[in-house]
Amino acid sequence: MQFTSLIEQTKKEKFSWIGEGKQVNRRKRNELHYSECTLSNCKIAVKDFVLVRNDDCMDSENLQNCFVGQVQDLFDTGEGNNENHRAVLQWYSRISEIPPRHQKQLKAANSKWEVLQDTRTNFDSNIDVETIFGKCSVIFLQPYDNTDTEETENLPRFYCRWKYNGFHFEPVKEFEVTKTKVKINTRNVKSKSTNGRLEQYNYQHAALPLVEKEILEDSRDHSPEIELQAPIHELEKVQKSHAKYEEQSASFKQVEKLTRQRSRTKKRDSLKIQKLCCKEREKNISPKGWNENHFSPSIETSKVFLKDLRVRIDISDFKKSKTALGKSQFSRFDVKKLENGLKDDIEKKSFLRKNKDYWMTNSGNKVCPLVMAEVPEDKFIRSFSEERNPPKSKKQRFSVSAKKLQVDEESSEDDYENVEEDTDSDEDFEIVSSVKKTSKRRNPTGQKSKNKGTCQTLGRKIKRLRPVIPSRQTPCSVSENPLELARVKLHVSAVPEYLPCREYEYSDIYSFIEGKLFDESGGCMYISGVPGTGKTATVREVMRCLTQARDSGEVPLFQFIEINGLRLTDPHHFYSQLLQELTHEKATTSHAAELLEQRFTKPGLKRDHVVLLVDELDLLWTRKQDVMYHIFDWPTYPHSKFIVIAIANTMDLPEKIMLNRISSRLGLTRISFQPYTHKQLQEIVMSRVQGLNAFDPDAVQLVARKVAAISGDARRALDICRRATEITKLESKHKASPEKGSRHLVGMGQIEQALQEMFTSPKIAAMRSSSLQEKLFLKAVVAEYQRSGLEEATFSQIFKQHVAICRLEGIQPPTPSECAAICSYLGSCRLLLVEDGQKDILQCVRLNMSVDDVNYALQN
Amino acid sequence: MQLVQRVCDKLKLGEENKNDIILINLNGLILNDDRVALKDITRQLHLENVVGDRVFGSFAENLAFLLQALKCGSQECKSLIFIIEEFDLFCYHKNQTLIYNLFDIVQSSQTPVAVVGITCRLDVIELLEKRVRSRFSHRQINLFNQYNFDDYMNIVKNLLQLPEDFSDFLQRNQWNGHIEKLLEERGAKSVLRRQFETNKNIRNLKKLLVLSVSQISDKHPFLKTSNFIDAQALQTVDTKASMLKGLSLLEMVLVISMVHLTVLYEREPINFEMVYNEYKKFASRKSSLQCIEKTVVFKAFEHLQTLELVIPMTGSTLTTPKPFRLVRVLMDPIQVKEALQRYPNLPTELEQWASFMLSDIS
Repeated sequence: MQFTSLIEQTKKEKFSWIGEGKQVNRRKRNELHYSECTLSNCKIAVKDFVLVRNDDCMDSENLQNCFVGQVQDLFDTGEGNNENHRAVLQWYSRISEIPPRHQKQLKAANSKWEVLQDTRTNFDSNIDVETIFGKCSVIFLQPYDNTDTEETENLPRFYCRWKYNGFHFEPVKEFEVTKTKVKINTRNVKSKSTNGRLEQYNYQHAALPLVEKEILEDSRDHSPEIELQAPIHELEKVQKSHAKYEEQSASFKQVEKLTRQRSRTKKRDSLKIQKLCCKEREKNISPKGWNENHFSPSIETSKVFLKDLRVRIDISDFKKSKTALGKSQFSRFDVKKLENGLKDDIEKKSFLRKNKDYWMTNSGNKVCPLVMAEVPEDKFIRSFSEERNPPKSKKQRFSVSAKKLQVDEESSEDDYENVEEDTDSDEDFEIVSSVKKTSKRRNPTGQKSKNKGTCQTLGRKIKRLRPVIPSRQTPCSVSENPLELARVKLHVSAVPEYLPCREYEYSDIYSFIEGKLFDESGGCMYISGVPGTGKTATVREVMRCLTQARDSGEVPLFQFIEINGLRLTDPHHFYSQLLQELTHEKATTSHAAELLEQRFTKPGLKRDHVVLLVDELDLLWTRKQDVMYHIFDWPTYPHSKFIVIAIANTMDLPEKIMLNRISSRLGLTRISFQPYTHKQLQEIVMSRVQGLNAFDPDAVQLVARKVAAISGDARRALDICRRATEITKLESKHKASPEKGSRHLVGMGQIEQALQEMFTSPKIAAMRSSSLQEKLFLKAVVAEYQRSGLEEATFSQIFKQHVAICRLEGIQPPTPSECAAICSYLGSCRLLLVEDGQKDILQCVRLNMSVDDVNYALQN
Repeated sequence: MQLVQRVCDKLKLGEENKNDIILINLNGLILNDDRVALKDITRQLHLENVVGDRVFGSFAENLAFLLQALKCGSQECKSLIFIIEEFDLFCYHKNQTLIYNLFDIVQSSQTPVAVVGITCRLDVIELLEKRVRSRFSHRQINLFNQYNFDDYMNIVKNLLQLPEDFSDFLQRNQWNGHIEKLLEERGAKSVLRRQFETNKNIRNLKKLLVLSVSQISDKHPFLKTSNFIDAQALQTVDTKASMLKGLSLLEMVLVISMVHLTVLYEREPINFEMVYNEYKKFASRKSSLQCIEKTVVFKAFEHLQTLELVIPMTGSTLTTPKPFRLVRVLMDPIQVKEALQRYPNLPTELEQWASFMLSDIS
């Protein structure tokens, strides 16, 4: 406690307002609004972009996890508590923070530096100033602009293209004229024009594939012009950078030479484009190393031309363009339009894959060493690492491209070997491409570092690997026999489209969760019922529907988490499991408990609802009941947005095992699932076998009535029906030649047999098949019971009876040792309940069934 | 187990299924803990190569890992067959976590999984928790020794006769003919009938036959009825009675008095002082027997304790002086009588006294 207060103190000291506070609202006199403040040596003013701690993450000040926002207002509530320094923010969400279905729409712009202006209303924009830990800058761009990575003032920089209101995207307006903006604008002009070109080109390409050459000329003439249009200081910068990256350009030249040699053998046009590319690239080098995005349009254009001009298109080339396409913002349009044209290439690619060895020798031996020899290695490594600046992994880009073009080899992520092979081949392509295109990050030395890269990606993949049962070689046979179909449908796992007979409970749960979601509050619900009454299935069904509703935008966002008490090895493990489901982070149980406590009890920033389903709640019981306490305590906090649905078997669990403080928090929202009645069971079975002519309705009724009389367990009913279908199938097989046309209905007989199998106790059969002496021993037990009137006897007493009975029947009595053996044998079958053998003749023996059973079984 | 093994072998031999089945054998006696069992399952599933750099430590991690593996499977996965021997022991694991999860997977996921539990307990279902029982498919196959004496004799014949492919044709015929003749004999038949009536187990039968067959030597190359009788006598011998045979006279006297006391006080526990008192009465009456000091008698009493013919009461504290500690007698008067009959050179006085002491019992 002392420690935390100390921290608060120091924070306090570091914080101060600048300037005079203004009163804005008359009613709130104490509220003073400011325009600036300092926070730990950092000056924050209104309209600044700030980074806000994300307390849900382990590393709350990580640039990748934190929130981004723009300060709209700063004020002091004057209430004198710890949280009186407030700030109102306009949130900027990362792409990973918006719903996945919308993420898909923005896939092209999948960058971690991308943010969206978030105008959703369900996040609290009023935050504590002290959660701000740094400043950043956000640059507003046109939707199809390119980003650059010039970092000014050493601040992290984000790019914003879109405004998001929870349903769709709108381009953000450029409403600020700043110093950087001028720069950006010029750049925009430049890239925009190329973009326009490209789009134009694409359209033409789609329409008339033969005009390319013309456009090529056009664009060649055009792009230098654009460059010239750029402001002079920009050019100066470029020149500076040129000087700075002398080695690099030297290497370019060398490689350029090489490409020239190579491409000369091909076509001249392509050579020209190569040159052009190189020039353009050299000019474009920016001081901070060049981001690929920066050139992507120009390179892309040239690449596309190359591709089209060269009939014998290079596989690597194709790949390059593909990645660039995947990367760039307009790939969405491009890919579609180019797809037709690319089909050829895909075919070629697969052909080339077969000849991989050939490529290995061709590229690996001939080309690569050449370049390697010409350029000192260390320089390359250095330049490479510099170029890697925004570490957009190649893997990511490949995966994007792979998805786009649906090249299945690359999308098979789970297979270790496959991955390795893939990256291998990628490298081959890489080498070729780097030589060809003189290019960018992928220069020949990249090979070395790339190996590192692949190692990293492999490592990541192993972590992500899911254990898989090896797949079978021959697929399961699927039969069209109605009996077989019925059997499949009757399996418990085959959940039907809707759950019959639970409509009332379903709507109850649905409305509860939906209501809580709309209220933005938390709450708990307790569901009880004997096993096999569809508790978990109903809740899952509700959640399935709600998830659909969420995805179509009808319901606020939420995250559904399911935790089963029996899948946890220890009740306390609940915390780490929950944390892992929430944030995909691993933590020890105590640490996870702390983090979760913080998340749910402290007023949070941007958070969605969490719907938690706790199955088998009674297993989370601990002596102190702290786990249960937390589960039901968190929803009561105003900011938690935590909805808990707890499931257990016993109705009075809250009263029976929970402490009062827990059961009061649980509240009275309880639903009890009654065991199914025979009508409901009948309906359930019938709904599953509907349309299949396999069951006699009367037979189903028999099952339903039998099961309802015993337990009302739907699983049991389904199992019986399944067994009955199996019996029917066996019977039909045994019948010498079943006529083809005749159907085999599951009738009363089969059901009766199945019921017999399941419900009769094996004990009577076991007694009947036991040996003479064993029977006599059981008789002796009964006789001893009758003699003493007690339901328990010692072995010596029974032995005496046994001997007496033997004499009566004229059988040689067994020795005590033999008799003890018999006794222990019967005990191991649990026909008798026997104490441990240490007590020898004094051990107590009891029958594990009624005396009547014994008499009945032994009467013959 | 043999039956299940044979079924599995047959399944494996089937052409189409050959490579699509993974058998997982678990034994409740070996895997006495879910933690160990989980590790064993992972090992048998050959998931280790997938595990890779994963630390194979935490139980929770393992469980999550395995569940994930089993859950994410689909129809295309290989069929898994779990064969669980001594299934009842798994029911005593904490919360029955493992079997709950196995059953749940069977019932809820698409992975083709079958779980076969083998146990000798008839009431194993009652051991299952309610939620586990609900997930159990309630398919039981009971195996009983449902054969009569003729079948039993056939089994004996099958076990004893040499197989068809035995190398020495002549010897095989000779031996087999002899066995057939032997089994027709009354003596052999009565021995086997007795065995049959006591215990129908094939395992016990094999024990008997092994004992008899091991008596064959060069001089007696064929089985005889007497071999059977000897073997059975060896098997059915009462351990207590044979132990009593080796006791000294003094100890015998003590045993008799103890049994007498036990019957007298209706199976209440007794202590040494009572026994000594009884001994003194006997010794004073029959002057021909030498009277022995109390300490020596106590030594004899302790010897009986080490033989576990007498066991101390569980409740008696260490503070009680040794002679007064309560003990229970683990002998039946019938056993004692039998032992006395076979006791070598039993003095007539003792014999008379014993018959007097034990007669009032029955």
